[in-house]
Amino acid sequence: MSAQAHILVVDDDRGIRDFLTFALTHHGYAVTTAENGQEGLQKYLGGTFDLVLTDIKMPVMDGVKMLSEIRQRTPAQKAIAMTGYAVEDKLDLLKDMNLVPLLEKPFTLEALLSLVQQVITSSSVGGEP
Amino acid sequence: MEPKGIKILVVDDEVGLRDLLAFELGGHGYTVVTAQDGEEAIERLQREKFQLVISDVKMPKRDGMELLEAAKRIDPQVEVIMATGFGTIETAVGAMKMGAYDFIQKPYNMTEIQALVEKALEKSDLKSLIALYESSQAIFASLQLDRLLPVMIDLALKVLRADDASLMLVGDDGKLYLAISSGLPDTVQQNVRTAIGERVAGKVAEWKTAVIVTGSLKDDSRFGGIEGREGIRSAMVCPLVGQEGVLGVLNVNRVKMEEPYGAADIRSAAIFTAQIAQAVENARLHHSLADKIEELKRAYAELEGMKSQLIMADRLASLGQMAAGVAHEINNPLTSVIGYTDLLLQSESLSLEEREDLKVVQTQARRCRDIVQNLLKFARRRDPQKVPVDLAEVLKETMSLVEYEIKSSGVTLLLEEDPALPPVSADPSQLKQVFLNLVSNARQACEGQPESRITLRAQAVDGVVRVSCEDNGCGIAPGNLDRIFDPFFTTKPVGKGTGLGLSISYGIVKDHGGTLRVSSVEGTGTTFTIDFPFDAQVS
Repeated sequence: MSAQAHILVVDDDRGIRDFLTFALTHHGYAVTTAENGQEGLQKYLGGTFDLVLTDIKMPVMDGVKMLSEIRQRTPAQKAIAMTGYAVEDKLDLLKDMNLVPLLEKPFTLEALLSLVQQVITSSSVGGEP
Repeated sequence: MEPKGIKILVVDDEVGLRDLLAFELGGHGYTVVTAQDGEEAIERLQREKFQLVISDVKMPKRDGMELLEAAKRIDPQVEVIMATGFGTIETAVGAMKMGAYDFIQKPYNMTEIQALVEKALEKSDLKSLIALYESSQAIFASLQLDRLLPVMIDLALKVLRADDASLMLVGDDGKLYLAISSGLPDTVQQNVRTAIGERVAGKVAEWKTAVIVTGSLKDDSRFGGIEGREGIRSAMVCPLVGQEGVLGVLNVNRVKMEEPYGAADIRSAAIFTAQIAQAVENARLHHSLADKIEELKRAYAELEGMKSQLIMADRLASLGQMAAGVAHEINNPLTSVIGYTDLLLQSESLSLEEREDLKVVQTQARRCRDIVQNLLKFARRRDPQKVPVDLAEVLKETMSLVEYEIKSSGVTLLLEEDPALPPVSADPSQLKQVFLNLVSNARQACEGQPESRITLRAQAVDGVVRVSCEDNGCGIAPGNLDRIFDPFFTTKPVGKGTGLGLSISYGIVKDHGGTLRVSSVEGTGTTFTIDFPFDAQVS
């Protein structure tokens, strides 16, 4: 990857946003944050992102709703969903709209970095060619 | 009472008086037997049934008083009239006290004797009815057949004046078995079962009619050459007929007593056996009622068990929700703790000491993560993905996962499986989790115990497939037994368990429609038992 990869981080927990910003910036990524799905969607529409890293359960608009809006516009948008509390039906929705990898909270730095790296460098989204 | 069939024993050492009485009473239709002294009279009484004895008091060999005493002992129902000469009134009063019916004075006044005999016989008749009534009272007093049987056989001997008696009842297999006997010689086989229609008892049961066999059975055309017991002078075999057919057969034999059974005995026996039949029926009714009550008690206990399982399930569900909420709240801050620690550890400017300390933070934070993940596993139970499963296979797979660890801790792990185990509809990976949890608990219970052993069993019982995990480890304290399925309840040292393993297992088993139970004796061992419903549709 030549240019700095740009990641949209969406989470309602400030601690998580701060940590992700710090850790990802520290490892060479550019980071934009939003604190709920609606804000995330607005920021998404105002820029170009190599990866959307989002929490699922959030006020105003949840991560699943936001991702489905994003995918309607950019079907090949790469994304990772973070969950601290698996809500089964939400996870099923994620499956339905083409595989979005799950990152279970709490995760280690290593797990975060390797998944981010893996998704960004992958040539396709989910099962798509 | 009709004189016909009534036997009177006249005892007097004066032949003239004897004959006079015999003649007079015989003329009135009584059967009269005479004896010349007490000894001869006693011998007769031992062989035959008399309704009345008229005896002189003063006689050689054994006198009237001795005879009176013996007569009452041999047959409490016999009436005795003492005849006394002048001057022996005191003796007569003594005789009355000993149970004589009355006394008459010599020389005999025939009219007086006749009236007295009739009155005495009436009393005798009444007495035998009372005896029958009392016997039935005694019979009805108990409803337990094993207590009734000795009473019945004892009464049969007395009421039907037999030397030996046996009572056969129809068993569950429809055949007659010997329920009880008294006085039978050792040579009689007691454990034979007789089909209805076979041998004498079976035929009587079939005919539902009492029969008397006098003399040799072989010569009795009704029984077509059946070999009988030697030495029986007269036998009476009576059916016990209940409301729904024959219940059994009462057999009474006279071996020593010479007098054969007659029509009067058949009548007595009919009354007696009707009472017995009623008692047997009542006892059986009571027995089946007791069975029903037991059944109800069991059903009630089962219901209670289900209720407590429901309460437990409810408690688990609400605790699960709370756990999930807590886990969620903790996850975000924990992510930061773990993440920043990991980030800091990447720095190369840390001193050795700082690095060591951070490693501790990292380890402890990850421990928190494991606890939270267990919590979530507990709260976030997915529905089982059910497929037909051979539980023995799942047990074997579980064993292969832990075998090494268990063996190296010196514990023997055994599997006993039913070869014909029906498949159950279950999620094999969830079941593996349950079995793993039980085995790992058992292993921990066995720690430091000599010759410890864990036995896994899979068997089909009572319409369920039962898996049990038995250990001979330290056991569970009685006070802890009803808490072990509670989430977060643990007796393990800090860091060795979250207190969620059994709660999760409990939930999984419940999701499979099964039950998880525990029985434990502190210091002896613990057994966990899981019953899975056997699904007939699984093939």
